[in-house]
Amino acid sequence: MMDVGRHPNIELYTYSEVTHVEGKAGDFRVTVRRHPRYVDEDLCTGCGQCSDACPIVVPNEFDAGLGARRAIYSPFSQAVPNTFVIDRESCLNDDFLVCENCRKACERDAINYDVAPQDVTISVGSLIVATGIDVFDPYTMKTYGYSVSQNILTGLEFERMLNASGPTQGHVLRPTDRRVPKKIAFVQCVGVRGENDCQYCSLFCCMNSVKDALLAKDHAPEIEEITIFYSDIRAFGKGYESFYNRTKERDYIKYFKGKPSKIVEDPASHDLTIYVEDTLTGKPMEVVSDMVILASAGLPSSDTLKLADVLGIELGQDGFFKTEKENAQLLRSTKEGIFLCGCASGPEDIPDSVAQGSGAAAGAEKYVADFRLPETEEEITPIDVGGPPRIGVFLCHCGINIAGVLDIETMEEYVRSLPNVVHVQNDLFLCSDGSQKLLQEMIKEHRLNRVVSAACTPRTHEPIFQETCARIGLNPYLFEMVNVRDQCSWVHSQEPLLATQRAMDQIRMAVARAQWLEPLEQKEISVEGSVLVIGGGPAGIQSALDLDAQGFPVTLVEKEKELGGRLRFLDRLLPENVPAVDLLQRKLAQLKASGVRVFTETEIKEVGGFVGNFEVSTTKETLKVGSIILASGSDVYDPKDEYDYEKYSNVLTNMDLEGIFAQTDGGEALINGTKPKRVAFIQCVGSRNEDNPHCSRICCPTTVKQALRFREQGTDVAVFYRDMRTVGHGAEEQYRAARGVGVVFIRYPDDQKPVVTKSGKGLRIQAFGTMLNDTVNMEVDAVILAAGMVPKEPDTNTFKEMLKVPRSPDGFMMERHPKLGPVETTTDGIFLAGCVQSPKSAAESMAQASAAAGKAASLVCRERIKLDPTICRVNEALCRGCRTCVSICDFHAPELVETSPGIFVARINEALCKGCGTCAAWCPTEAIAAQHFTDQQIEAMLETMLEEGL
Amino acid sequence: MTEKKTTAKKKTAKKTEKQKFVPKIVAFACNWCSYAGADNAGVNRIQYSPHFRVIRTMCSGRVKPAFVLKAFEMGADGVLVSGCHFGDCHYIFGNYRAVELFEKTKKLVHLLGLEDERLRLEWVSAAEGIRWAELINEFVDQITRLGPSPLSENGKKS
Amino acid sequence: MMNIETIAKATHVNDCLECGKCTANCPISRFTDAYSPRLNVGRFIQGYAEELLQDERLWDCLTCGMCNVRCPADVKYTEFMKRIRLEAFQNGREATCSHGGAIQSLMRIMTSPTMNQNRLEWVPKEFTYSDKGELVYFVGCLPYFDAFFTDLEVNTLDTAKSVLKILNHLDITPVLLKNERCCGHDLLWSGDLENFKKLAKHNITEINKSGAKRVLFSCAEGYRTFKLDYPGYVDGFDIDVVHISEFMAEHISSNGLKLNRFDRRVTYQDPCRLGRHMNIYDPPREVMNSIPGLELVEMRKNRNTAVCCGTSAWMNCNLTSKQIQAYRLKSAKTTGADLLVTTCPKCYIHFKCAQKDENISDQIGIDIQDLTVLTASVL
Repeated sequence: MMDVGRHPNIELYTYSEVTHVEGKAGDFRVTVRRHPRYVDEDLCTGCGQCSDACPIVVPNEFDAGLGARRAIYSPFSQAVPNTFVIDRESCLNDDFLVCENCRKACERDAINYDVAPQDVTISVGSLIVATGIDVFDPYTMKTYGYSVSQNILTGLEFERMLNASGPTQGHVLRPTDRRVPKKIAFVQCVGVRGENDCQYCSLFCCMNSVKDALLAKDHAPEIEEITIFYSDIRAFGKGYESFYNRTKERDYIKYFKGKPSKIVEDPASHDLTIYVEDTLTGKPMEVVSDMVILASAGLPSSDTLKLADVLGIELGQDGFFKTEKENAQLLRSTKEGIFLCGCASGPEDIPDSVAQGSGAAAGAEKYVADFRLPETEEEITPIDVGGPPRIGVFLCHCGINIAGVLDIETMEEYVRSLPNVVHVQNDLFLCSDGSQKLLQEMIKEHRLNRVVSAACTPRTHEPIFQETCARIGLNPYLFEMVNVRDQCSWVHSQEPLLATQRAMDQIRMAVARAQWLEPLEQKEISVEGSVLVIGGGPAGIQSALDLDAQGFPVTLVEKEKELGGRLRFLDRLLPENVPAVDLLQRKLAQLKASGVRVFTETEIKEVGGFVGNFEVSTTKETLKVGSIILASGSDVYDPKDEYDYEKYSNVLTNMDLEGIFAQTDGGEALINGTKPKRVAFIQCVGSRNEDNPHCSRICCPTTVKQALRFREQGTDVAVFYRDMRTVGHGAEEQYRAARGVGVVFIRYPDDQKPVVTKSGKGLRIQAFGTMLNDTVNMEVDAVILAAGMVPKEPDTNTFKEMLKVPRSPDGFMMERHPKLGPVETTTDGIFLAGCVQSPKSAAESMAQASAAAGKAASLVCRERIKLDPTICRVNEALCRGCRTCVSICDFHAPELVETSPGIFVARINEALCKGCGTCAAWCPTEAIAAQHFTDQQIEAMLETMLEEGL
Repeated sequence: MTEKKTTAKKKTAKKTEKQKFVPKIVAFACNWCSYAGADNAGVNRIQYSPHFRVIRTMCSGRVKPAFVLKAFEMGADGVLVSGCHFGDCHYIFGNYRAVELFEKTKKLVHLLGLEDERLRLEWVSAAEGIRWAELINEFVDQITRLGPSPLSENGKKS
Repeated sequence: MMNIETIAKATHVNDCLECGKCTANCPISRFTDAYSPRLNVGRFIQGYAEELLQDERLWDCLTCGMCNVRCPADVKYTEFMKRIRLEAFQNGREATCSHGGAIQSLMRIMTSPTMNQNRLEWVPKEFTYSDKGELVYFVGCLPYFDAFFTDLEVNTLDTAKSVLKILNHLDITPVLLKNERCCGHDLLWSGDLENFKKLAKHNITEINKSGAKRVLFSCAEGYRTFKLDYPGYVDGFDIDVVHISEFMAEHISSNGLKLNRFDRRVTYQDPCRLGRHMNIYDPPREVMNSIPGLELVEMRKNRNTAVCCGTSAWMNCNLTSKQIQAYRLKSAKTTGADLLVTTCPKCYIHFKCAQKDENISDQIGIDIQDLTVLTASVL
């Protein structure tokens, strides 16, 4: 959020609404209504004095009503911008009554009650809709008792409760008696999967409850039992299944298959009785719990309908924005130039939402590619900083935020006595424009070559001060900041004397550190403007097309003779049953029409270089590219002798069947030359077991799709499953449709795989079905194995070595961050698209491919990139070439180079180093310096802190 | 409410007068999680003990044995190293490296005869202001109970 | 102010003939022309002593004593270095300490009079030791090195365990001191005299408390420090000091200690402190030669011309150190031996560290063992 707030090319309109849109892709005119905050964004420092003065207390929406806020407030502690806002509904001031406490409290005079809404019109090339979801209010479903008992919370309310900065400060407390509950129950699928007229599955709730069950116990070890009432546990995403498995090992977590019919509160004890059938034993049960958490569904956000009207785009049956069907594009709305991401088009989990955000941006960039902002820089003559340190210390009052607690006068006097301090000054608001200018004048007047400020946190304000220094030519790395507000006056306000003492010590430490600060130069490296895409499946093609649309030179390399990857063997695609072959033809035509250079039957031999400057040698030619997108795909699990797959021709996999369907050309599908009367699907073959613990995500939707296809031709279908994980747009609806047309779903226990034997010409399948709690025997003509996806070997390993990108425990390529960096890797400039990262459907792969394209584009659109100089550097004379740094760096920044025959020393690649300083901590000979956090700087702080006492 | 607080404050003031021992505690906080968590405590105005001093590093993996030993050499009574939770590290595995270094440091500190409690490695995320505050309070209490480091007045470099 | 005359008198620097034999034989000068013993002496005697104190190359000297051996004018260059460093340290100068100064911190921490170490937890249950008795086994830094150098897999405590095994085997119950301190060797050679003296005093007190009359060392540096420097800098030290190699050789020759077969070809690294500083060359060789099957082969440079292990007192470890180590390990390997034996834990650690370089492992890869570990294995 902070990055968005600070980005020079992002104009942020919060508390605003799009009211009118006209024009077309590439040329939209958008009217934005800016609701008044009644607080001036430029003047407000976010100090909160106004809030303290406000007499009104109302429930805090951010804490799901569990906490309170004032009428003038900041919605939550990390809000961006950090400007306060007045909720005029609850504010006492109107045109007749006057309170004005906040206005009087504000030292910056930032509050004005008489501001009218303002309409702004902006011209844009494209629009991205990221309006998210609302949470279903279970109040309307009386049987869940939400309206009756305070001890029933929604999942979101419970999330807030678990949050350390939430209303209970992370303590799990039962609302009626504020005691830690002994027993907690989670109820899944509240308001979805058939309830509340919602057919879809809201996707994220299973993992949310699984995670919260674990967290709740961490927060409150007194909890004895947590029961999760579920229909199917949908642990479908990367790493989810193994997380779920870990929770199953905890003896306090119980998974209970059954959906409560009603929840009743005991009026005296406020305990809750859950009426539910244990569907595994067939017994109706009454389970008593202290607290119930309803995994409440995600609904289209409240203004979806209105916005659809304004934007002129369509909604789907589920009420979310409709995606472009023909090309299975999850990120495009029904109107060109308007993109969708995250939950706008249906519930998504965080990694997919984040990836879709980047993907939508990539799509949108096509329409603004001609308007890239040039990077301008003015020439500034640097100030000579040689000679002994001349330190200036600036103390900020931050209104009364700092000065109200700390004794600024004493501090100032003390700081004057510190070595090398030649100037000390205090200021009401150091970050204000006027004060920053004054700071610049003082630097000149006193010939300061080091600047220390004692104010708020460097995490938000250091860049501002650094820029102020840099503007007049003082190297920004000669600036040092002491946090005397967030980590002093605010948190020790009860003990002003001790707080002042602490502030003075921390300033003394900063001054000691400042003596050792060194000017650092930001190096620039040039960036090749082209991208290499490895792999010509749907993901690779999509990435290449997106980049080409933005005007970047792209090379697509495919190992096989033909492009298309697995798309070539598929029949119809989820979620809209688009024929795969049609889609592929369209994509190939687009590719042909584009400027993408395509090399088939080409392999990558070697990859060298680093971000912006990769050198790739292929079997065809050597390329220089700025970025690489890896879309080398995955393999389908080969069942070999499992279920006698290799032995019997009527034991097939989903993929085999896709091939059969694809060749029927709309006619009937034949297996071994005859139309099967009855077939059985077996789910989770080669997934969710010891060898491959991950869930392959696409097999359940695929099976349902194929079952429906069989029913169209009158073939009976039985599906043997563990949990039906029909995730993805439209999949749950298809699942319900399949049940509707008579597909029999038989759930088998995790530890009892069905047994398939030969029986005449057909097959006999025997399994334990939990529905009837009995063994099921069935004669079928064919068995279809839902074989999962596994990492492609040896390719995945080859690329791991070549690109220096690690693999996750599941064997797929590891992303930079499981939630926040789903397409990035640990190596800058290398991105992942499609199944190489984790199993996905074709549509999902293409959405992620767009994300990778977006990330690559934002890198190669620049001619040069600046490297952060706060990285590690090797003093080669001290280096013994012991390889310690090489072996511990996860970014492969250090490498050994032979400087003279037989002499190897480490060198750190500035483009790869992230500046964590871990290698400097391990280096045995002090050869590595972590710049800006050097040993001398840290030791100087330690020494002065401990020498002079606290 | 206000009254209660003042009496509580007076009591602590008296106590410190009696014991006269104010611990010297160094807290290394990583920039991305723990330092941010400490900021979060500030934004939420959570009150906690001022008897410690913070040194910010980019990553907990930066805190080498030499820093910790130097702190004890210079008379620190307790050292806290704080980083991101596993899986949360800005540098992916920096905190795992921190653990490896910390294990080494811990063994040395143990050999030196310092109580194991004087050196701690903890994880605090950017959202866990309350946890940071509780951690500091708890650590300050713990060190206060242990009393001055047996090395506090000696071993300084001449 | 430094007393130039006193230093000159004690170290005979004024006798320098400017012949340059020292530099020609200096292992540091062999790999870097930034360092020359002759030049340093020259600067000192020709009025640039102050400048010498500021020179960071001052801390490069290994004080290995090779120059002393060669000097025709009897200049005591190592002693000169020691004294110059005391002066430099007084002037606030310091070496680049390896490992960020962690080991120096450990040493300084041990000057604390009130500390109560947990330094005996390594002792295996089957071995006996006491807190009072005739003979003290001075374990030295071994427990600390063992914990600090885990990634080098040096397991220096194996040496201590082996010594204990050997002593117990000979029916000797040694005294192990719970609050033994660092001997101070490294602080002394890096100029921190004040803390060296503190450590020495603590150790003397602890040893006196035990009632022992003799102190046994398994390391070369502790032995030198106790034998030469404690009497030189601290009063009241009057105890017999013995190195484990002398001790074992004595038991083999006069008490009939018999060792088992060990069929390997072995070469031996003379630690500077034991060899050139203390002239102990034969006892370790006697021990090895008494082992049936063991074939001792000498490196080309051995005894008083043996090349140092490349780093001293955890200072200025760098590329040059590594080159010296690689040179020495190559020499060891060219003897055809498959085991390099030493009697100093630091030689052991430094060589092991050099062996981390995979690029030249075919040239420098050789097993390394402490003499005590070897001996204990053939008891």
